[in-house]
Amino acid sequence: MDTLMSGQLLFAALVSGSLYALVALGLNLVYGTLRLLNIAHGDLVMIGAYTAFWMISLFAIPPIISLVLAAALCALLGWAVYAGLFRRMLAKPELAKRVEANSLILFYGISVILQNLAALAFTSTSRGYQYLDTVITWQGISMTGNRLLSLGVATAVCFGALLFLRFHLFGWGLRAVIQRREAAQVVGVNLNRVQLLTICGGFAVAGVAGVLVSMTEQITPFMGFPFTIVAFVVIIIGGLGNIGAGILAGFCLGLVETYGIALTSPGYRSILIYGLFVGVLLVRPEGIFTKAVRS
Amino acid sequence: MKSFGMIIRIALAVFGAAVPFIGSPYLMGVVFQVAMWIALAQSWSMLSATTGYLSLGHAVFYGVGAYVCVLLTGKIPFELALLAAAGSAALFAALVGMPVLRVRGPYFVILTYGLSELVRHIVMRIESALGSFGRMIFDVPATEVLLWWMVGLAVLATLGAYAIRHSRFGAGLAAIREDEVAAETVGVPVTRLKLLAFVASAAIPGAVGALALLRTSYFEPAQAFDPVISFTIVTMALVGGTDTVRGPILGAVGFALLSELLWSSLPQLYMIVLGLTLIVFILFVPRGLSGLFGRIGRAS
Amino acid sequence: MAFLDIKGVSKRFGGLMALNDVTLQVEQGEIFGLMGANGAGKTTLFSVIAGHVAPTAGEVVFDGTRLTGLSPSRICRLGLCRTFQIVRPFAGLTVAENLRVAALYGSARKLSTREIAQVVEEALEAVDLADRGHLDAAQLTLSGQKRLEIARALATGAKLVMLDEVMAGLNPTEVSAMLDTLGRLRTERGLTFVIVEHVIGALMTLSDRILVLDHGERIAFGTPEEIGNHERVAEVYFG
Repeated sequence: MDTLMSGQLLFAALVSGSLYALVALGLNLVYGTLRLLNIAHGDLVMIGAYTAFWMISLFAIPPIISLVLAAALCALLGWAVYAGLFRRMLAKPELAKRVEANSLILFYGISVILQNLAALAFTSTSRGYQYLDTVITWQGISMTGNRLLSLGVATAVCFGALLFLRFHLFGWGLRAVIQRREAAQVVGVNLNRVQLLTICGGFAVAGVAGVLVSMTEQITPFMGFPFTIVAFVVIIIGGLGNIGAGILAGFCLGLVETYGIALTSPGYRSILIYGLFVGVLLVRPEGIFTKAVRS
Repeated sequence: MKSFGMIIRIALAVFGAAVPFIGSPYLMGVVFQVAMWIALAQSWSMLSATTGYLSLGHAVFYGVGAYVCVLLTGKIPFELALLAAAGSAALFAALVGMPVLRVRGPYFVILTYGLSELVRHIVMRIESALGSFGRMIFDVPATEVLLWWMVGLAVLATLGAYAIRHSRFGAGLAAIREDEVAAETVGVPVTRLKLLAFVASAAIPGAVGALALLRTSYFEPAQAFDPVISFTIVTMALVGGTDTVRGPILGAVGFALLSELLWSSLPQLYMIVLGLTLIVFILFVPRGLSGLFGRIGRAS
Repeated sequence: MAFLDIKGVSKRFGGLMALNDVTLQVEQGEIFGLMGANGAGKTTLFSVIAGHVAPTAGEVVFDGTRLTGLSPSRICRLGLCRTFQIVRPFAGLTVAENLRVAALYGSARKLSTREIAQVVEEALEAVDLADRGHLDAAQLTLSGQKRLEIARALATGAKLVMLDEVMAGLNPTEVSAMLDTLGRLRTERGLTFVIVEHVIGALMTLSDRILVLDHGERIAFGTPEEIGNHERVAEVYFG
């Protein structure tokens, strides 16, 4: 019981919760504007993680700078995916008709390609590096610098995104597209531009999350998929396309997971996450579905 | 009827092709693989091609079959174990089918994936709690026997897929694919038909999983429920084409042979080719190889 | 006993009373019109009768069988079929295949292959689509797809067909052709229709009796002439 009440566990929960919120934010943005469930989202986290690893190992560039590099790299990838695949797909009526189910399979194909390209290029060996791993103790809570940094950056990006959506003109346009796609176009929102920028932004956020993850966890070509699943759980709980609630749901999942594992054992982590994933999809299929068609 | 003749010919060809290779372990292995993927892709098509509910979780039926088989093998005759494997996979589909099939479109796709992974992790957890990290199986039937069974399953799955498409059942499923609400309105018992199709498409993969397990004579949950199996099935079926029964055969033969070339030396490259082909076909050849050949045939 | 007997049906969606204690009887062989502004509850009533939506209170009895609680497919096999305001063809199937599915699954007993072919053919002819059977349903014009909706209901062997705005979006020529078709179906096949229509002229011409709904409640009931002269209807409906 003592461990459960300790600040130590709460800190761990906040660190993973902020990461989940961040990863889910990217997925939510892309879903909200393009109505595409990007099952390759977690692989962008993997790409961000490798970026940080190679930068620090080869050029001694610290992760704090890699944040920008990974974001740029993933944004570029987003542009390529949008311009190369989806503009084409959305333009063809016979494809657009079945675009939702097909796009999921398509993204799965992209995911498989990314994972195996990484495995081919970097081998399947787990990688890791040390950065800011001195322990700071405050009020009896032991924290490493990298975890504090991760919590800080993830939280800042999440709330930055919220403020941006709330106050910047582009954020308004984006929210308009999420809520009323056709109406937004009528009032002069450039749908193409909003979609392109969102997919770049959503991908970039995942890259940032990858850099943060790499500071504390092992890096492998196949590390991304669990993040995809977590992000799906989060955005379905929070409501698809609902950015603010998604961020909150991310933190909640971090709490549930950390405390759930503390009460059982780490061996149950995957079962817990996949169980939640299947559970939310089963319990709310109508809710999810009606939301998807109404828009 | 023309396509029925085609199926018979393909079935005979698979049989015929298998005969001379008895004795050559390598070629028997290739035929075993080809037959296995045909059986899996055809089974998948019984649900997914007919109703448009794309399952990305068929590995779960394969895995359930393998798991049941490893638990039963040595205790009951091999044929009964196979039947039990198929039966358990079908039963599992029947149990989860009702809630799962209420979920549509992309959510169905990820749900089937998630369900398959959930079961994989649960079985892994059970096995590690039992202190088992992989089970060896002794006393497996001869390779020839397994091969004949697998070829039999491929033929059975193909005939089954054909029969479904050309029956009243298939007409109902097609209506469900086009518009579920309208189908219900004109008297199609949507829920029941979907469930039946789900169960039908699960049974043979269960038996396939059991046979594949006996062939390697080693069970490890992470492999038996490997999501790559699901992905490969979907790719084969979509690349082959889902409009006809020969589509999955074309896809399965093509990729099984490609896998022979690449898998042992460059597995990653094989997966990349798989992914790229899938993307190209979804975007540019939505009707698959089968549609491509059909068009060429008609044009000439 | 009435052919279709709707007894005190209410339907509440959250705080909204979509139908409030609606009672009506439809006799065999008549064309029964439903009128009302948008949101008056007409489509909800259709959905309740056809089994898509469960009523909050009340029950529906058709041809002596209680429908409430049955699935739409079961209700269809009992001989009651609806069409949709926004057409829902099986777009990837041909027109004839659309009807074939309806004949295979909609009829009360199992039909032979020959009977099915005959049902399909008759349904095609009944709505003047005989030369379009081989086309994909998606290739039909809107008017064609509305006819397909009707033909599909016919192919199920329905005794009572509920038509949800089959005239909406059609030009005057198409409307008059549709009026002919429906009149012919009634006299030749003895079918019963319940129709919802925004094209008021058409509704007045076709219907034997009309019920007017407003905000889920019945406000008037009678022959077309009586409805035309009804004060409250004029107020609510014609503004």
